Amino acid sequence: MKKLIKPLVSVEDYTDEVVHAFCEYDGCSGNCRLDTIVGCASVNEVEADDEILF
Amino acid sequence: MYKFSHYNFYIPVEEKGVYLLYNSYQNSLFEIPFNIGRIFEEDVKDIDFKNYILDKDLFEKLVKEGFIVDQKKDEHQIVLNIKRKMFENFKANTENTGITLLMTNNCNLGCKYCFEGLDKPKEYLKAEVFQHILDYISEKKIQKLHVTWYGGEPLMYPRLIEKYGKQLITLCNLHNIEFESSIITNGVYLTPENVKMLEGVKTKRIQITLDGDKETHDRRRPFIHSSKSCYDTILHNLEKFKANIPISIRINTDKEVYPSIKNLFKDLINRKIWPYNKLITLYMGHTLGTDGYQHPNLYSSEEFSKAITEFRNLKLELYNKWAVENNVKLATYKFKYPTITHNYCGTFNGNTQLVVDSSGNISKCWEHVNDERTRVGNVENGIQNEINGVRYQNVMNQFQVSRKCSLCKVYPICDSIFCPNSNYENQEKRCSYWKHELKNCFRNQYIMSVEHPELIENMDSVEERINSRFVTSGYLI
Repeated sequence: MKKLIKPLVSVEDYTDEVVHAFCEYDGCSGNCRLDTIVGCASVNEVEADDEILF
Repeated sequence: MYKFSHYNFYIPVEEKGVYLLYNSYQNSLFEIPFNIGRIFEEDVKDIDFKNYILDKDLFEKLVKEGFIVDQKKDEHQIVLNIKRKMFENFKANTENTGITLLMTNNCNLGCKYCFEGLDKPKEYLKAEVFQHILDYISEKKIQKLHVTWYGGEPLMYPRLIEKYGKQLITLCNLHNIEFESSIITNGVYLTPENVKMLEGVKTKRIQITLDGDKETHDRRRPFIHSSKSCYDTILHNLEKFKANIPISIRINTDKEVYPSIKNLFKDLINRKIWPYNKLITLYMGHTLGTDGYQHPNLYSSEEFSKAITEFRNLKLELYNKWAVENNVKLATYKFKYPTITHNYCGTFNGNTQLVVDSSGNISKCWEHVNDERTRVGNVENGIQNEINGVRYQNVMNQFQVSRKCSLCKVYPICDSIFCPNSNYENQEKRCSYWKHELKNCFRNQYIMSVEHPELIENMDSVEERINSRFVTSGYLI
């Protein structure tokens, strides 16, 4: 059994801390207005010059 | 006694001799030999681990990583409690206020799916109404204010945006409030002069809409009073756009628009708009039905998820063709991976996310403007939640999740925004991309990582990227 991806945070880590993550929903237009509260990757993320990822 | 986690996904990659094992509760991805993975997938129900032929080390690893859990562990209830806690934390953050200002209901376009039809109201946000908004902001203890200029078409009144924006900046300076704005516009009046004006009112983001290529866009979004090409006008403005403000181009996508997206990209490349200007990005918006627009061309969430995958491939292909021709670095695939996220609409956020129409009426959601049933007050008298019924109050303020969603294997990573308006209107919730595409997405990305690692983000980088998006205390703003 080989680990491929294991982020530091699982859903249990949300129990006590006030934690937010960016939404990764491609179809979002920011209509949820989360960008005004916690930021929104779908809307704000612009590809960096040195590494273009789609 | 043990059981397999409800949140396990078993993804066969037979040609590489492995199964991918993903758990949405842990958000972790492992690789196991194909023969073991196949047994897991076929035998997941009522498994007796005592009599099960399983290597001791492997068994212990599966327990440690949460793929096998204690029989008594009520995973659904734990996830539900955590989601509820996330919701309460989200609601408790009331330091930032977002106000969407409907400058007017008037618009220069006659989009066939617009609820207003062609006979648009001509009202605009008058100074006396705006003064009440300034008074409202003065009375609140706000740390950060974000104003979205919206309509109708807000750039039909650029001098008003300039005037009101400057008044807001002065007020915020006086009260030590951080201020920024954004605009949602059809792009027709996004001229250099108006862009300069928007920079002056601290605009941090512009959203415009292009519904496919010229023929498709102009058919769906024509001018009301002109036969000129709306599409050409918008692209002309984008050619001249030099400001340091990100523009996201929303492509309202359904089966009518999707086939023309490639031509749209080609036009943007030929006219040196995308990807020349790195601040201009494109994404697909899922066109949904409205009362006046229930078209057979609408995508289901499953169909739309597949279209997102194709869109991503198309964007990469066209970008790299352009990159080769222009001798710049090639783009690679991001290893698409879920993040555990709260997925509540900003309207749940106390009374800090408001929509004000040009008459000063306050709604919590911009889908609710023009709907008297769901107004929560007006700028003159403030928020009066009691004016609405109990059901509306419950929908807009309480944690709610359907049994179907709470039992869903994707629930911990579901990023489909929970929309209180849809709930209020008894509309079915749209499912996340991960619900439909998780297995295909991981499988394809894994194969690419093995066969062409130069084409896709390294999996170690994925961990770093996801970890960097989290903070363990305070809000990430």
